[in-house]
Amino acid sequence: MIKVFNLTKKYGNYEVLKGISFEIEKGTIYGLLGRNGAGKTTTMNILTGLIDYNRGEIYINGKMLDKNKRKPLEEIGYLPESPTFYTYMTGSEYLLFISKIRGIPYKKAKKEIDKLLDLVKLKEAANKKIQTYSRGMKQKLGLAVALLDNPEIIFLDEPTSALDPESRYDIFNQILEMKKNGKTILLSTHILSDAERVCDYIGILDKGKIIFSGKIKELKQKYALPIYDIVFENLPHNIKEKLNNVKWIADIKIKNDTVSIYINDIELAKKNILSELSKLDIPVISLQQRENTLEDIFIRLVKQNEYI
Amino acid sequence: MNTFKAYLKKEMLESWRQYKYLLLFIGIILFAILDPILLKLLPEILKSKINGDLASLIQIDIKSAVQNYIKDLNQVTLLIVLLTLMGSLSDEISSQKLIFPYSKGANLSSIVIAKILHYAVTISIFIIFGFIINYYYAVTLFSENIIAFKNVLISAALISIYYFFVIILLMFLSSIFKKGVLAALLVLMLHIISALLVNIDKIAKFIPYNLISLANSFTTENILTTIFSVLLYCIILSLLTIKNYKNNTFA
Repeated sequence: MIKVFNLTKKYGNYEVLKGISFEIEKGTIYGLLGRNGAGKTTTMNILTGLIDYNRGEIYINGKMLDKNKRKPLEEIGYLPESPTFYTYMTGSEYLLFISKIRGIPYKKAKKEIDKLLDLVKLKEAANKKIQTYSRGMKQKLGLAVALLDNPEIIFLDEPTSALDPESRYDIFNQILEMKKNGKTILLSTHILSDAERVCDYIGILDKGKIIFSGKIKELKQKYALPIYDIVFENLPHNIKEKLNNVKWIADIKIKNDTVSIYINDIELAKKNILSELSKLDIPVISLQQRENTLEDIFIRLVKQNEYI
Repeated sequence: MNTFKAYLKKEMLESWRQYKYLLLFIGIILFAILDPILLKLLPEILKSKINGDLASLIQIDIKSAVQNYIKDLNQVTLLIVLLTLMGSLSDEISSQKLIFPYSKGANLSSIVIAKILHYAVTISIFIIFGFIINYYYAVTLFSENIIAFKNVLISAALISIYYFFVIILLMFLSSIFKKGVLAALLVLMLHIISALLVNIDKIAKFIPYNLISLANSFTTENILTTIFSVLLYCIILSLLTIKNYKNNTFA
């Protein structure tokens, strides 16, 4: 459905995207993950035709996205990170304005707008001016705009950032509903639990490069390492230095009272963890083994990929 | 054409809801009514404040009453128009309001044309009505030095063309600097500079401000060169505005 090859974007001498490539299959949700400033919004803006790119090829539904031709973009709906509207309009007036731009006949547009406002739960606020809307309501209206004229592909740039839990829940349900209806979705986020919740595939974008692209399952299979979370009676000093030479330990992280030991050989770890801990000579309150979360993997991939 | 129609309607709604029509009405029509009345009352007001026969010193006739309105259009009204319209294009660029329309297929050239035409037509209608109202009051209140109504309408047309130029210049500068206040200040500066340049006979007919001088003198002699020059500037500035708009909007 969407194919991106060797996409490069420069701002002056600064290369934001350094030849990224990825593919999105029809009817799936692809999550583009990355820290703030990783290049997610730039990628989105290029794919929606808002900004140009320097090199690379983009295919949308088999049609090449030419820098000067916007035909393939007609099948796209885009929700930017902070949607801005003409706030003196009401929600339904804004949707009608956009449908005029699309050339949708008035009666058809009215019907579709009613349906969309119902879908995003904004029917009651349809005739209120947008300037009275909360951030969550604006995001929902933005989603309705993106869905107007039934596009096959939806791009969502950080759709849930800065939303309250209830609005996030609503937006996610709507994203899953869109997937059910066969839409292809590209979602960018830096909230990894969001991606884990809805995405079929993910791409990790870091410093302008895609460092992983594939299914979440594959990512976990490939990069997941078991972790031992240990709570000591007193937090040991220099634990990192003391366990530095243990071969089966990949990394050690300390958060509050918990020491997380990342394991690269679980069999060796099982045999030796207790003896290594006893060498520290500090009472252990609890010892628990757990799987990597997507967040753990992401942090390792972008910060400590020497362990991959 | 869909974008043009949608944006024309949007501009009308925006002007209505954000009281731009009201501001333009006050800036253009109110002076048309107040000017002749104040001029009529001025000698009476002064008589009560200063001793002596002031009526013999202030000789106001129909022509000078209309000229006084032209002077206001060229000073206070210009300020009101600039303050009212200065954010029209720059706000759209700086606050990223165009992302949704553009991602849904809006044509940027049509947006610029819709904006320019909407304000040009609106201001022209107000100016023509302003002149008609002003002329009516001038003829009613004063008797000497009558000027033909046809000449007043020509003056209204010349001032309208000047405002057409001012709007396009404002849009052009907004498309470069993305800041409405800066664009408005620059337009004001250029207005003052061209008011000085128009005194140089050799270039006067190519200076847009000459339209105001011609309107003020109620003459139709040699007006075509200035009109065509200004229209040419308008076309060039419109094309440059569209080009800048395309390059700067999402950069």
